[in-house]
Amino acid sequence: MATKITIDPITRIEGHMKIEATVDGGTVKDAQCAGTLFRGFEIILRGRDPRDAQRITQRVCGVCPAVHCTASTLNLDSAFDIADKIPDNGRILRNIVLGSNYLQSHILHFYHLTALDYVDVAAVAAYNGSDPELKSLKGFISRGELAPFIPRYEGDYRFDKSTNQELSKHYLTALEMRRLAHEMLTLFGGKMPHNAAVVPGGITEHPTVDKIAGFLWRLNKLRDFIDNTYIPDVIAVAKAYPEYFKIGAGPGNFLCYGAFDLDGTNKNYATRKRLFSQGAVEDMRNYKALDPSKITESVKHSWYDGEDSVHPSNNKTLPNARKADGYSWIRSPRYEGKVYEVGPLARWVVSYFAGQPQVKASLDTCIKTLGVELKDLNSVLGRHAARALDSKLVADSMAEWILELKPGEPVCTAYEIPDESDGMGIVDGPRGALGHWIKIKDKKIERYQLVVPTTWNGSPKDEKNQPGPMEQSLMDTAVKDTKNPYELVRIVRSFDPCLACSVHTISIKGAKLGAMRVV
Amino acid sequence: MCKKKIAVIGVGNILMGDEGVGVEVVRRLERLKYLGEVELIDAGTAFLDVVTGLRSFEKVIIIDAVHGGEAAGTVYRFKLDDVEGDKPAVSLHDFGVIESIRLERLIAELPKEIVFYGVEPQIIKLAMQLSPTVEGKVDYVVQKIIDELIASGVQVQR
Repeated sequence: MATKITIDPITRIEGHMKIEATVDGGTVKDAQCAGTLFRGFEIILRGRDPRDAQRITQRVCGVCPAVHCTASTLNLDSAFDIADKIPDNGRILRNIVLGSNYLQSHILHFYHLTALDYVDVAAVAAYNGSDPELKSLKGFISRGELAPFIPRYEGDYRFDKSTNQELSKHYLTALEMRRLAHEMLTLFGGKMPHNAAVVPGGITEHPTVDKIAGFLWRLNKLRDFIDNTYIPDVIAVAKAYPEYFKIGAGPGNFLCYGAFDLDGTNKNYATRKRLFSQGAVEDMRNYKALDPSKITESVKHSWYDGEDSVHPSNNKTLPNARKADGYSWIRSPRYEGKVYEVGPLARWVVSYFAGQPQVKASLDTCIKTLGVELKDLNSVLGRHAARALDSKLVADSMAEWILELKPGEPVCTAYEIPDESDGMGIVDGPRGALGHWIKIKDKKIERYQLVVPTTWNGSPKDEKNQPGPMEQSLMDTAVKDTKNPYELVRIVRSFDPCLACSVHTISIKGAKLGAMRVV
Repeated sequence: MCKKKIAVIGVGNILMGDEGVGVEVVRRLERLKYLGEVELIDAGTAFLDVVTGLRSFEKVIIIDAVHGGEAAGTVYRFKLDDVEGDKPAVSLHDFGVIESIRLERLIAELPKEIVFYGVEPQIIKLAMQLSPTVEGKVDYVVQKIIDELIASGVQVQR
């Protein structure tokens, strides 16, 4: 008999997402992935000054403000017709801001969102030694404060006690590393969080020798952590859970908008030189150059009215919570009408087939070290491995870029807001392809649309009934215990889903707050 | 490490109605002048990014929308100790403010005093303004925080 499993909510942070999987005969026969919260931030932007887009879109999410900031400023640069006039200092500092965000996001994802699915942190409860970090973690567990961070589903834990303790310790080191990455961003982002420095035309912060030095020592600590802790830990998980190279395969189609501009003189974001290459790879082999006109969104199974297969620049946000075929607040973005996965794995596969030499060398070494084939990367472990490689390449590249800055030279260019214009800002954030589109009329925003990475990966079925990437990745997965479906949780988590909803209300359940009211 | 005296941190999403009350309080506090070491921080939706900075302060005041079970507009004042042992909500969708502070305590010494001001929200949905009920309490919370700053030896000029 078929059993329906509901996992809700699925992300440890930032997200309202529900997965329904139908298991029959021990494997998943159908999966539905639903965004459960209406996001209509586009509606708020209508009629505003175009420059507000940079400030407002950063507020849609607590995890990825930096990448919304990047996409919205690229969008405004293009609408203001200055995309090819950003001074090198401005271009490099924007890369530095985005790159710092990549590092903190990936480290957070692996250590604080993923690792506890594989590492038995409870082993620390039995710790009797004198290591201050493990003692601190032991106290945290004994006070019951770990509860929100451990999986709701019991994992199958395979490391021995001392390895579990060692890896749990890295959970703490990683918190400190995130802090450093955050400070790096703060050096050049001006006000933090929700940085104010990245603006149309460039950036408002000037590079100084002091800031460059302050950035470099932090970056070097992070590079040491990535090389000697993060990457070895991902390898350790891969060796202990090798079948996860065969579990969680997505559609095998990968899309990347590219990231980190290396040349500011080409105003076409689809072709300008970036560290990660723009493009689409079909069936894990056929590379095609990126054509943004082939991006469409469908709403067949989403709670929106409107046509299917519409380009985002022409899209409207028309919520309809009573739509009969609907099961998600997420739309279905498609490329050439097909289902594409986005994210670090997509970035690496696309750049690999585009012939990016650093990516090619690094990915070939990775496959050899892990003893797998390229196609095995289309999996849970492939996504984690790509995220670690991503961190290393971005960190190593930042060490070079920071030395290309020229203190005293311009960081920003002047512009005028046109009466009427269209713009597009496309860039890969830590979680993958992010697109912003704007239409300006009478110097005001007439239309604004965002297509965020988790809408690609977490999309529902489209009008051709093609399931979204996460839905496909769950299909045919063997589930040992339908009451404890940790396999499915591990698959979904490997995508690093993040739905911009961001409600941060403090909710007090146990303590009695009535006594603490002051009015 | 030389610690600054006080941080006042507003948390919340200004795009989601009453969720943004903490940020609104900080914005109003920004209009005043202070003699003494006070830092006003609009943490917005990224409290997890701000929490690692807590260690630089002796005292921290955090303002946020709080679901405490009383009528909308109710203002709460409590300390971290008051909610010690509180089991966070069953859902795992968020690193909440309190959970983030507990995480930070794993790697650093927390400020001596962490005070929360909470306002019970009425409406949390897509909107860039507060509900009239919560809006009506903003100046009251601002005044309470000014009193708190004065009591800590800060001079506040209107």
